Amino acid sequence: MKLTYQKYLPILSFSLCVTVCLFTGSTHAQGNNVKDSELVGIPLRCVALRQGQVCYQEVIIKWHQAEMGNYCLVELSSLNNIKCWSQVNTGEVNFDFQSDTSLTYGIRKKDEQINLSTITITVSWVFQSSKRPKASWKLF
Amino acid sequence: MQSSHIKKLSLVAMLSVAFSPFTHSADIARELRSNADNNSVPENFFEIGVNAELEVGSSFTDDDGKGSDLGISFSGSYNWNDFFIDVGMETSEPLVIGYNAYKSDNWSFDLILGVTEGGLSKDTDDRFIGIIKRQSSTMLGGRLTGYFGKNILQVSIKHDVRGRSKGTVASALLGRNWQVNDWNFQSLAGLTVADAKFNDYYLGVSNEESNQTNFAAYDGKVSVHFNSSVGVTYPISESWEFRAAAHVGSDFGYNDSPLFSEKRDFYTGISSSITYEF
Repeated sequence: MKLTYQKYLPILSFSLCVTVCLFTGSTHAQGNNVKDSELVGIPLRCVALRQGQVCYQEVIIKWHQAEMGNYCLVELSSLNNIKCWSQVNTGEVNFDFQSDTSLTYGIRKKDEQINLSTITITVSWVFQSSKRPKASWKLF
Repeated sequence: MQSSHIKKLSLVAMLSVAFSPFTHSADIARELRSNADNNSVPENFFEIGVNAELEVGSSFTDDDGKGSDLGISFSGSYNWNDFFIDVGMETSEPLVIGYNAYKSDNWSFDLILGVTEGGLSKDTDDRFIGIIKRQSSTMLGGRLTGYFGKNILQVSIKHDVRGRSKGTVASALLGRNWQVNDWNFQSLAGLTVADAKFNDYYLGVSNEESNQTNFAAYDGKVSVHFNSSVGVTYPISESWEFRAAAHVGSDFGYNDSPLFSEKRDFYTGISSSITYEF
């Protein structure tokens, strides 16, 4: 159903644009300060249209440690190294997040398996998927 | 849904009385837009949005056949034990009550009962003083939907059981969606056939009406419309989504009626909206 208001077209168009800008802007306006032993991800949430879809998001992860050393950022479910650094105590990586589930990342000393700090990029969605049971004719 | 100040509305709203794109069957538009799985449980939902539209086409009220609108739209669906009630979906009937009689992996069949919006009346425009108000039709019929990967085919046939137009409308639609990053694209193309009774009731001019107006007498004929659209949906957050679409279709055939103030063989249009999902 539709209600139309042509005379409010300019005002509402402007409001529409402002709303989009606020929404898109808000995802990049959090978490710029990195403290010791901390991981910061921007943004922390990736929104897909429907549950089960691969969600795509450009993510920035920053980290800081007290000691200089060799560190790796690891995706913990696959244990894939996203990036490794040598003789530093801070780092930043920008990568394309692509997943249909939430993923957790950890910062580790190179060749060690202890997570010094972790962060989770959450995948959420607008529409949930729930399978229906097999069915057949119900009327005839 | 049309307001009482209908003559202030654009042709977009005007044509949706009975002949807007996909209005005769296209609830699959939402399935494509939301990337629904054909084996998903039917969703109960309510959504409200702000939408803007630009259209060029045939019109009952606008001399140039060009229109723009900014409006608020809402729609919803409630499902219970294979019965469903759809409100404000992209069909010709603002309210549809139905029953899903069959569902398999690839096919679904619904029995549907819907009430169309009304048609022309003297409230539409001063030009129509002397034209008998066209009432809504109660359409009873069935629709068969087939799912083939990312493609959806839907055929439907509906008949006015209320007896006002006693008309029959049939349609066939083919849709597809695909994902590019977080942008979900969808396309729809279809044909809609309305029989002479349906067109005659809504677009015909009787001899009596002709005598009381400046319109020549006109008998409605069978019409075939081609409709197509390409759209995209982007999830802004878990509750908000952005949509945009472009439409192209045919107006020729049924717009032979003298009731049209602007006749174009084809319509084109673009629209965009921001919608909140409850």
